[in-house]
Amino acid sequence: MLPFLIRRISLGVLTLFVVISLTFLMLFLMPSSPFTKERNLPKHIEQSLLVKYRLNGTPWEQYTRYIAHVAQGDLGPSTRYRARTVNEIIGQTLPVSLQLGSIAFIIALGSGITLGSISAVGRKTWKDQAAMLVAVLSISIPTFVIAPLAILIFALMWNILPVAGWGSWKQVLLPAICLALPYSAYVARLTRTSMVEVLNQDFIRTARAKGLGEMRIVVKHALKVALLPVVSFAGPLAANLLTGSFVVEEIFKIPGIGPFFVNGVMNVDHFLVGGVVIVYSSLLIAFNIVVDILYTMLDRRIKLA
Amino acid sequence: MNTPPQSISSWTRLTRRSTAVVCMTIVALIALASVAGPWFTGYGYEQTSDLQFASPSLAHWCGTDLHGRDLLTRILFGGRISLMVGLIGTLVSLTVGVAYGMISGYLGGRTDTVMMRGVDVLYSLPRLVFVIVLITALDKYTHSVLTNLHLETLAANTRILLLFVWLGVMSWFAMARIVRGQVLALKEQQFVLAAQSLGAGTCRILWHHLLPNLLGIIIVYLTLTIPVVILEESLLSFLGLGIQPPQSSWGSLISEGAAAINPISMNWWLIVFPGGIMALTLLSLNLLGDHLRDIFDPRTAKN
Repeated sequence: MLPFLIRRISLGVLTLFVVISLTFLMLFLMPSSPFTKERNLPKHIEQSLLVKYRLNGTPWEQYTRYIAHVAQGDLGPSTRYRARTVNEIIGQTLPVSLQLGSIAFIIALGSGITLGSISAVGRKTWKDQAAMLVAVLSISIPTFVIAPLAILIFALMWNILPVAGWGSWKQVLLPAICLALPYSAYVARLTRTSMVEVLNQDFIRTARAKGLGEMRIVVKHALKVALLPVVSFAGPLAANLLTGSFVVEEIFKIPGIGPFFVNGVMNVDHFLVGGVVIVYSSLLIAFNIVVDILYTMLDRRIKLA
Repeated sequence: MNTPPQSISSWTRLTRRSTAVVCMTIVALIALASVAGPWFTGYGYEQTSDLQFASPSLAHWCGTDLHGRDLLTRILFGGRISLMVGLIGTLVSLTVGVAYGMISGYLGGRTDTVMMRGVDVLYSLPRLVFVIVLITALDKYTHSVLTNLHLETLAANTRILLLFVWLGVMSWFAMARIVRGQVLALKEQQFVLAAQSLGAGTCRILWHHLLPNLLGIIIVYLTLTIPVVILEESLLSFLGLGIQPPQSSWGSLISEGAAAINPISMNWWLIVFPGGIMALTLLSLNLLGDHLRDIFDPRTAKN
């Protein structure tokens, strides 16, 4: 276990280094100084602005300085929100996005696994067909179509949930469900396929022969094996939920990281954009290490390599 | 296992499934309407009028938007862009993914391990965030390069070009994994050994012997990747980071529609029509892909 962890974490650190370097390269290719749009500044003022916002020097100097700062956990100043640093912005908005993301993550996995199992157990019955139709429908209707319609129906016509905002559980409900919906459908389809396969295996027949009830067979015996593809989907799922939340945050006016990132991209806010890329990538790299460990705990046949 | 008869029977097997035929027809009709439609609606996609937020009528089948533009024309025009980005983006992703997967699987050993580790890493990163940053970072640069090369038409469409390239380049990972898996199994078969012992080079074996055997799986993933790319393009356009006005894509239309929803006037048509046509396209493509997978993928065919 330990050598695996060390290898995995060092690979993660290496990946992160590559990501940071790539991010810097991309930022460097962005339209140059954020101050060029403003009226002509005297040379020395522009120079001191560049120094203040760490945009002075040769590319190589900027690169090494960026790496050094990021290594110390300093993501730099923001040129769009000038009174705040990128660390402050991310520190305030990331928890909101993470809350929304993790609630959606739980909804997607919970409902997806349940729906997929029901489908697999009642294979080729109306339950299966109905569940799979709902699944393919929710994959095909984009979140940004569902969300405004959901606001229209639940908030404007029926008045049972708030239109937008953040704070109470009522305000979390609609955005989290909208965000989770398509991924819950992916998970359902994934679970169904692998569950159907597992239910045909010998050890399930043995369990049936012992006289166990169908519920117990599925939950205690089949699910553990059938969940493996779902667990390996958890990494991409988390990645998708994080970026998917940009849209949901925009529609429901949630003070998460999304609106800041989109604004940052549009206003060429180098360090804010870079900071978001780096924070998201490192979150996902860490998450994937956890998923790998979970994977082996579910299936002892897999050797950690 | 030679390809031509198999592909004929696959076609027959596909056309025997009524859902698949309906889906193909719907996709074909939407594509046809998008290509030809804007010439027949009687309005230009940029043509503004005084009729602000007119609800659907005989003159404007899908109503009009904030600037009095005919929504049907804009939906059809947006369809051109959305479908084109979906198709070309997928072709880019297909080319990269198939080439990468085939080389990795065929060479095997250390090369394979390194190449697949690379895919693992890329697969788990926030792809769309990278696409967004890449597109905005390269926008000005590409534009000036194209203008210097006197390719004004291309320069005017820099955003679309970048969407083609980067959505494609960032979505080949799943494809590469699947192709590699298939090649690992195929390369041990006797026809490959026969070709090798006759002295065929690596390129020849990959192109003439392995690729034809991968066609089925490639078609399946082609069909399933197009809706994903369409969805991602519209997501970017929805956020205002993709297609720029006055051009439209389904995503940007839905974004305009979502902005026009408020308690005082529910301009439902602005979101229901573009959203509906987009959902219909994605649904048809997804269902078609499922059917193709049932036909071509021996693993799911058993069930």
